[in-house]
Amino acid sequence: MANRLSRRQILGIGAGSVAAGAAWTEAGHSKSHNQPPGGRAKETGGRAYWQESYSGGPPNVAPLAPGLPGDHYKPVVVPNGAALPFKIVGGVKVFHLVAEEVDHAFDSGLRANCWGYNGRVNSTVIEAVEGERIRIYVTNRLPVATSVHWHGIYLPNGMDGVGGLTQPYVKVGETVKYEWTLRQYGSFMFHSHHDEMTQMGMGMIGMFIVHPRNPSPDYRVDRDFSLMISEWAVKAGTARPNTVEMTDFNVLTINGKVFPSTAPLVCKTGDRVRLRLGNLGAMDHHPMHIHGYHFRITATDGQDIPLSAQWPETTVLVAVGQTRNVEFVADAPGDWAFHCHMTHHVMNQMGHEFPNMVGVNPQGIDEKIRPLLPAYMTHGHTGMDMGKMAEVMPYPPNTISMKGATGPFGDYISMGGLFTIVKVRDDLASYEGDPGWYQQPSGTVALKANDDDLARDGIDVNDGAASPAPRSGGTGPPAPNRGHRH
Amino acid sequence: MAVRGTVWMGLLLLGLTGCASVNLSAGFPEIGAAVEERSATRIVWNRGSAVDQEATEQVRSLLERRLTADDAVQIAMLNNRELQAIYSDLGLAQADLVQSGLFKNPVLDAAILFPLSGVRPDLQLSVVVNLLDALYVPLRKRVAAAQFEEAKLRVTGAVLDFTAEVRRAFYVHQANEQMVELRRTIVQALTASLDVSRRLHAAGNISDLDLVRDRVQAEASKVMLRSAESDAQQSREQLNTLLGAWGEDTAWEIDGRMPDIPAEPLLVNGVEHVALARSLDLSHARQRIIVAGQQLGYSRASALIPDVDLGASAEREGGEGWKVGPAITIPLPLFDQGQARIARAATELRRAQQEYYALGVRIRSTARAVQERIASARDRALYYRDILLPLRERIVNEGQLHYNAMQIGIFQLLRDREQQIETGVAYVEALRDYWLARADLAQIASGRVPAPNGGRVGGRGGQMKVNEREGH
Repeated sequence: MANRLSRRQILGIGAGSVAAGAAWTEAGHSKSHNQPPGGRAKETGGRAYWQESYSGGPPNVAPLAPGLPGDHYKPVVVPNGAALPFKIVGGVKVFHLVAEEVDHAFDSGLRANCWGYNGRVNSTVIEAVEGERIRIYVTNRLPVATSVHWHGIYLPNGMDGVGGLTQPYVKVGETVKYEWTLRQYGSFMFHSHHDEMTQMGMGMIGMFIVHPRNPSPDYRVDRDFSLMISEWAVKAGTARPNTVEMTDFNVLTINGKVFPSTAPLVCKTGDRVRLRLGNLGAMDHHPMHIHGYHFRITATDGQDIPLSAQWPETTVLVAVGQTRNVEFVADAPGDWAFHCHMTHHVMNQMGHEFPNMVGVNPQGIDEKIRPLLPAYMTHGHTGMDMGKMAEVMPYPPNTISMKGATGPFGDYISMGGLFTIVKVRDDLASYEGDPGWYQQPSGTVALKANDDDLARDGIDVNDGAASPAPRSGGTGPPAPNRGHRH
Repeated sequence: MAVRGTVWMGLLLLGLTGCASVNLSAGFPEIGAAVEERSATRIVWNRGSAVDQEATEQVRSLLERRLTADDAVQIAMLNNRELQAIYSDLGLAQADLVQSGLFKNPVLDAAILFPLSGVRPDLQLSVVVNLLDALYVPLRKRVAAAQFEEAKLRVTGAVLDFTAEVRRAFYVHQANEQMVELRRTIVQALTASLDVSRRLHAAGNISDLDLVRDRVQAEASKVMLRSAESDAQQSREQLNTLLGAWGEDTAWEIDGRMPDIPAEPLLVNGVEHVALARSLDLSHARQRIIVAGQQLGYSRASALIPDVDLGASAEREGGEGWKVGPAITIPLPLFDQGQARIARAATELRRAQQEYYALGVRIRSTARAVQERIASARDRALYYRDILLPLRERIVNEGQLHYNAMQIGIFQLLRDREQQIETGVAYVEALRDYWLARADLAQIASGRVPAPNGGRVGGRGGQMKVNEREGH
């Protein structure tokens, strides 16, 4: 109660004063890192407690001075993207967000006619600081009306950006002004809120990062990555996302890119790393998995998670419409995969009409079919790994099916989509660019076993039990799986 | 008197015995010339001469090579016995013509009477000549001549129809052979598809149900192939019949591909007019009107007195000298005044006139119909050739790229290939329709009119303005 009163008094003070800033910090920061949220816990009837406010308190607070990069916050890193520029006008941070058609490249071999903001798709980040007043002009250069919703953010109802509900549409060619004072910090998002299926499916989404005012040392990280996840339906040979698709998504992106075009997350050994993950895809949640580390899930798009409640995980599920912050210390050098663990989400433009060819005996098929189809070659009988062939075979235009990348050992990394690499190096000249492949110390790579080792450890590679004889092609159904035999 | 009368009678009889020999090949050279002019084909009447040997040689050498439609027509002309049989109609008509020019033979009546009491017998002699024959023979000859003309037209028409029939049979067979080839490729594609299905099934990747579904496609395609093979066999036999081929002569082969659609469309100016002008059938019908007219004239002339016999008789009764005197026999037209025969002939004439008119109407619409069939088949064939087949080919080629990218499987690829071949089937059908319609047009140009749906009807004569700038 006393807490709430003092807060109100504080918020009543005029904008921009140092005193107000300090007071704001005190009040605002009371909710920050590792503190229980404002409001006292009351044990009543088994319920833990009610917070005083779920909407950041009264909307008309006096704003603080605009926060500046370097001075008030360390800008996030946006792989394959950029923060939206701003200017300060009369103590207000002013952005100009342009909704427009974008000829977007998911990868070097795949482009599509998408919609986005300021010439980017999924990778325009609005970055701001708690307590400042922001004014965002939204110009609509799309062929249809739109609106922008500020996902997870406390603001006056009329600024919420739901077309038809809280405001008229932003009509074609119009510019609409959104303005409010930020009363929270965290990883948020923004996206079209008019004909969402179409407009978000065409790419009208982005991350909205708000840094805390005067953050505690705990908040500070060396690498703060903003990663927006989305999914698309772009059939092989087409060049426009099919927004009517509901299940068959074949292009999965981080900041609008698929692997191998996803820029690596470059870190120095020992760096504190934060990954801010947002998901505004249409239908799929993504269990994002890191190799070589565990991370802590430290925040949602609602609040920081108290230390006592943070989960140590190697996989964080980012559901549609959620953001998750995960943090870890990158103390193990190497090239560590970071990817969605849904296996179909690490494929590029997978076709789902291909018959199951796995295990099919290919002998003599080509000879039978080539008289009819001279360019025919059987594949799929060993699975989907076409390796480098995927990059040299004639494909339909604008198709990157099966594409991955050649790795450091000459073998193919047969993955795409929601796949990127956390590259941790002891020596790093710069965070910019790609440091190349990690050179593992000698003796620390899984290589072909040599005879001496095998002999010493008594491994008989010709032991029949180790490799059950493959079933010869019969005519009946396959034998039921009786479990592994190893 | 007696002597003079006898001499006069003798001269009269001599005069009445005309040149009465029969030339059986009369009219055939004319027919040959007409056929050659109208359909650029040489005909030979096979009557066991050196010319026949030459024709046989020609047939043999033609059968050696891969036949074109023209070759087939030429072989049939020289070798088909039905056609040879038709030529006999000419001989028959010629015989009728000669017959019509012959006078009725004079009748010699002689009697001798031996009196039982007397010494010298009585002698009676009479020579009777049908007097009106002298008047009627030219009339009868005119009728027979008209009938002979009619027979020539009939034979010429039959020959021209026959060439058109051979041409049509040839194109039908050529199309059927192409169909067999296409159906065989489809079987090949679906069998390959089934083979892959079996392997998928063996690997445990598809169910029995899937496999049976795939198999049914492949097996059904074999039935289609069998039908196509049978059609080709039937049309081959049809052609054998027309070529008059049997034994080792049936080993002929034809060009594997129908001729392509000519680059320039065929322009026929005033096809109706041309069809009428060239029509043999119309000449034939005209000829029938003339014959009926002649017949009517003859009937009218001979209605009242169809027969008058004029004669001379001589008599010598015993002991007396000869008595000589004329004799005449005239039927009295009391009951049959020929009115029925006149009415009949007049009706025949009216019927011939109506038939002539009706034929003209039919020729006109047939000509228009054939022209439309050519245009339509041409449009369809070109559309298949220039639009649909290239599109189908693109589907197969683009499909191959999608297959490479593992977007679609081999089954879809082979299905696309099958669809492409099915489009080829439709193209061959359109091409066949085109050449059949062209054969009908050639028939019209030769002076005969096919049935509107491409069967046989008749012909004509005249000049055909055909703009035949045809690149093959």
